Amino acid sequence: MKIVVGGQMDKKQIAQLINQNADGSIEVVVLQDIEAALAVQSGNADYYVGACATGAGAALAMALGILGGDNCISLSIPGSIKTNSEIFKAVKNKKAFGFVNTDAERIIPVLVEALLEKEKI
Amino acid sequence: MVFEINALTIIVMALVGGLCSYTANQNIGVYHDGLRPLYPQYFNGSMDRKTLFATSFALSFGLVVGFGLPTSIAGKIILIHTLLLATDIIGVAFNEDRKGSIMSVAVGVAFGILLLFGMQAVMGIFAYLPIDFTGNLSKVGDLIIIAFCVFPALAVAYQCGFVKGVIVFLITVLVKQVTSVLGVLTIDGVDIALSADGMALLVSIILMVVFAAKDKSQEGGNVGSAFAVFEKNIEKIKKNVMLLSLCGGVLALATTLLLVAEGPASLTLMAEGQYTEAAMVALGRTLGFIPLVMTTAIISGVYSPSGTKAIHIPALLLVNAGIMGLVGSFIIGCLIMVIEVFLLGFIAKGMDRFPGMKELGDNTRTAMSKVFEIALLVGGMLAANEMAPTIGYIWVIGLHFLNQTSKKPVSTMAIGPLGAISMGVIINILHSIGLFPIVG
Repeated sequence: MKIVVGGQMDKKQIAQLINQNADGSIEVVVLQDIEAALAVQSGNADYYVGACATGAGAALAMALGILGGDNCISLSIPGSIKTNSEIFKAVKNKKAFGFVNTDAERIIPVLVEALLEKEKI
Repeated sequence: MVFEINALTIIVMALVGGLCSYTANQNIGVYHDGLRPLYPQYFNGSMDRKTLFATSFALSFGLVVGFGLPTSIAGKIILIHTLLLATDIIGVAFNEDRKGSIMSVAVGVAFGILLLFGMQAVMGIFAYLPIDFTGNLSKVGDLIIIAFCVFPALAVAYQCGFVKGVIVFLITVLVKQVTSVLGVLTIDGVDIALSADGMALLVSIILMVVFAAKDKSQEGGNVGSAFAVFEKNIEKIKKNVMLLSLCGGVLALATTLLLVAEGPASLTLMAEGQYTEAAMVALGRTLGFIPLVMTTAIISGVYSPSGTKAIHIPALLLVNAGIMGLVGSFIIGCLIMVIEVFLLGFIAKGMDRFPGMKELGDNTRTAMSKVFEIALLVGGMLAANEMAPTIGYIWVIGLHFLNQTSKKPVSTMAIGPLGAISMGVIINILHSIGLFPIVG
């Protein structure tokens, strides 16, 4: 499985967090958001992850534009954060995930677990 | 408040409210960068107006109430987010037909005026309380001015590594120290003191841009060709250039009148009368927002009423220029928006050539928000401590950490202003039940 970190804030920390939680079972690449979205579109990567101050703006902007809204979801926005079960549900039919950068430590462990479980089946 | 309420400011606030609500209502420009990318789905019919409104509300309401209002109250100038995120919501709330557009303008005008009087009223109420803490609130922003010149070094470190970041940081500190000691020019017998923070910021921003322009590690790739499909969107924005230009002009005017500030840092500087430094900060923020605003505009065909925020830079430099400053600010604001709109096509094609600059935008915004978070948090602690030396620090520290575990966390940047304001209200409550005696 290959994840691209595109959306615009704290990209290196997010890539690091994914690596820590995935124990080497996920390939993580940090790209610029446009290229990251293009990579998912062309099949070079499986999932897009991005963060920004609102979890929906810069985090997902290019993914929304290039992959379309049906493939994207905000896992957190200021004042609201998705529950673990909602995250497990979201990975079933979404490819691009955005969240508030300060929520990364709460979101990523769950997201990684959900993605690993999905890919096993 | 820093601004005055008179015929001119009332008219300007009404114009800003009405124009920006109309612009959002007609799907021409929205302020929230996260709302813009949703428009392709709306235009192709896969998202209806109700969902668009619900999303706009979900994205913006929390920021207006949790971040915009407290920061505006603490700083005594309206943070532009409070105004423009609300006009986003107002514009999208109504259908884009004739009736809906009239309604959105009416509500927008009312909101603009209400915000002006409402802020004044809140200040009035606070001043009536037994313990007046409005003076302490300005402490919240004290550190922003000092901390802000760290952001270019941090952005360079993100992009080019720790060592280069440290180099820029050391130069920044050195420039600040040298300017504060030697930065007094005597021209015709008049001493002109250079602002140490302003100079440090200017030099570090220049260094940051130089490092980013040299950065070849980023691949430009096939972005330009990917963007070719969005040609129609750029044409659509160009058709609305007149209205967008008016928005830019009026917002620039509102900035020059000290009604609105483009961000929390320039807000503090404006409140203290340091307009040149505020303009420098606005320049840094604009550099960070150019790629984000323009790319989201290109993929959606929707622009922003304040554009890349560049309109605020000349507006701030013209604050003390009297009536000509106001006229000039309006005209330059209009012109900047026209230039931005016509540059969109060039940016779309040129994205390949300066990949380092695009990356710089992302890093700049990350760096600035990190600096704001710390500066506003510590500022909030200092302000709360000044009001209540016994419980001020623990109140804000506690709020900060508990917020992180909340199911509905507010933005980290808002904890400082919110903490200080709530502390002020709490000490008044404690005072009324005899638990907070006024000393001396």
